[in-house]
Amino acid sequence: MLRLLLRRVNWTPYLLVLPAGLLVGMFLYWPILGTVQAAVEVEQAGKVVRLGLDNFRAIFADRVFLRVLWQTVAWTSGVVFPAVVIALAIALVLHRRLPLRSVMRALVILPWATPMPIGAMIWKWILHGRLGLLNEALMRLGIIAEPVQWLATADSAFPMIILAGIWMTVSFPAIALLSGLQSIPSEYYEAAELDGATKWQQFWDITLPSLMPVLSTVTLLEFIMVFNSFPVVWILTQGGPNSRTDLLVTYLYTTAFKYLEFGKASAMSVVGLAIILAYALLFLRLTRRREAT
Amino acid sequence: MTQRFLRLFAFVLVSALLTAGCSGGSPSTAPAGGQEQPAAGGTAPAAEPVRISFVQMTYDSEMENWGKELVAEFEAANQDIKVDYQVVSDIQLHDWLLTRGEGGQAPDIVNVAAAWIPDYAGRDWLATVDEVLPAGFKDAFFASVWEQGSYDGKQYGIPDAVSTRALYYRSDLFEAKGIKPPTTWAELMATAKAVADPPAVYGLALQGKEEETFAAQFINFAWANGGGVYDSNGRIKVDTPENTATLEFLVSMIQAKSTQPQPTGTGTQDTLDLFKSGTVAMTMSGPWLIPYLADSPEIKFGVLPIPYQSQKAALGVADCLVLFKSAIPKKEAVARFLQFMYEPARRLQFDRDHGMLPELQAVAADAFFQQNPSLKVFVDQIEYATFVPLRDDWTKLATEGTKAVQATYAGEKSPEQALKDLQALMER
Repeated sequence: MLRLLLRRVNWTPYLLVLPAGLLVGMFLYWPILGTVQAAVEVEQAGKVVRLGLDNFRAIFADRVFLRVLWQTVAWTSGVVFPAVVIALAIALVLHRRLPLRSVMRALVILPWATPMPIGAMIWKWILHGRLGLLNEALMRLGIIAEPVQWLATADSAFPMIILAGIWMTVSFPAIALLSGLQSIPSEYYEAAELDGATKWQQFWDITLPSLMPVLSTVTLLEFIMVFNSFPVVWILTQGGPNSRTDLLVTYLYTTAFKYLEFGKASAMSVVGLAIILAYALLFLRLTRRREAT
Repeated sequence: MTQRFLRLFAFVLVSALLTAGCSGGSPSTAPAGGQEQPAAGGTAPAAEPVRISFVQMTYDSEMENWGKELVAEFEAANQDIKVDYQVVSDIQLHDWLLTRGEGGQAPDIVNVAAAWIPDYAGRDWLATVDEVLPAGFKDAFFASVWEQGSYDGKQYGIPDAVSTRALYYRSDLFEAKGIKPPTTWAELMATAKAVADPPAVYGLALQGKEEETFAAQFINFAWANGGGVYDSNGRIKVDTPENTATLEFLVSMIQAKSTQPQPTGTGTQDTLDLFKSGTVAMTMSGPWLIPYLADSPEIKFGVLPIPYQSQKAALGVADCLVLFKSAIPKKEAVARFLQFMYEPARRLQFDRDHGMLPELQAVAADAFFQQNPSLKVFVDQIEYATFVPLRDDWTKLATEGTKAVQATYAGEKSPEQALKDLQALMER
């Protein structure tokens, strides 16, 4: 009976998938389960104590945490949407036959090829309160009279981290969209031209719909990456002043590794995971529906 | 045919992965266990040297060489002991050690910030000093400094890298304007305004970014006003009238433009750079600012104790060497190494090269510290200095305290409200 079953099932695909499955299970699902477990249980004197939702109640009672969640949403949308729009513009420009096109393409990749912490250090220097490039430029142009401490107050620090975030984020969608553009058959445009369509109509009715699959994938990936991005904020402001530039990940890091409150930190990361998951599902459903129509 | 081949291939791949996974563990654990045995059992033949490990954090770029020389000298004099020396960046060390400790692979001797001791001692990873070193070892230290290594009634740390904070002032600017440098708060407020010449020169560099905002600057001012952060029962108590008055004073310094603008953008390093670049006339710092100013001869400076309101107060900070439990079986070797390291001549050289203050009384008496008027201010403060208390809630208090101070500097909250909120947060 068993032998029959063993022979009837084709085991090859399962065997082939097994190594990858083991890796993903060990390095992805196991840690996630561990985090969830750390959020609802704690080990005290060798005994496991169930906490239920205590940690979640505690973090949602924390006004600063709620503000940080809001800041994270503002940061993510403030970086991703402008970055994707700028990336689309860059891709359209680079798609045309321009002199030095390959040089310009290489320049676009540069921020992406720069490791994030190094990019953040560069921005730290650009924004430096006394010696920074930005102050230097604005003073020479006569726009400001004395140096501005860009990272000293929330009002200027938050826009600045978003600016740095956009700079570091824009390359990847630009390159992805450029390759998307190159895959649109030129016959479409030739036909449209014959029918007397304007450039704008061509962009709106041919380019954009054809790019939609790339655009939606790129936006989703960027959302996840930017939501979880740590180095920019940590290097520029460490979440300060007074947590006004903290993001979920930096606040979580402080809670876990400075205050050693691992239960609360785990609860925070579960909340973060839930937000990303919800967004990804919603986004996929929306784009799939649009593609279907 | 291809089907069968694929099946075979998959099988080989999986079994290779599994065997690699199994065998991967054994070679890495076996030698480690084998190596420990002779040292732990003490029955090894004399030819086999005892291995001890020592990790130093980076105070400056010279730490690698300092340790290598120390170890080479020690090993030459003690052929039966081998020291594995490693330098870990001060930024990474805390978390590095947590991971190492969790994996049971911490080094025998590590130099850590004293404030971290509760994190490791609380996990029962550390040996006490008495378990490894002879009782008389502490006699050579300043009592106030030795206290820094004590947590929960036990001595876990051997202090090193002692410092106190003092006020640096631009002697040339004060002389040119005919002003006497300040010793009290009232004088600090008045002179900071009088000596300033904005935007070229501001008065006092006030820190408003990073934890030392609270943990070094605010607390020093608070002590100088009879305030503090713990009550007599050792509970956190920050919303006191003395502390509120301290914070009000600091905020009034900013409002009176006696400091550089927007202190919430100024971190520890910035307070040094502002002084070195001649942008401020006064700053508070440790003795390390003296060598930092060596290549800026145009900056003429003097050093005074921190200005006070109701009582003199100095913040002392020391790092500590801690011993992990792995050091107990090898205690004879570890003790010999530490005694070698703490010989006064060697400590004097260390303090001199790295801009630190002495932890040993004999070193403090040396002409190097007694005849340099700037250094003498720092050394004289050691005896009445208060060292940062070692408690597991300190890091949180310092971080949240800094946020509270930032809220007042940015005008978001009144000092009274900020301290009240901080108290509520720490009680939660």
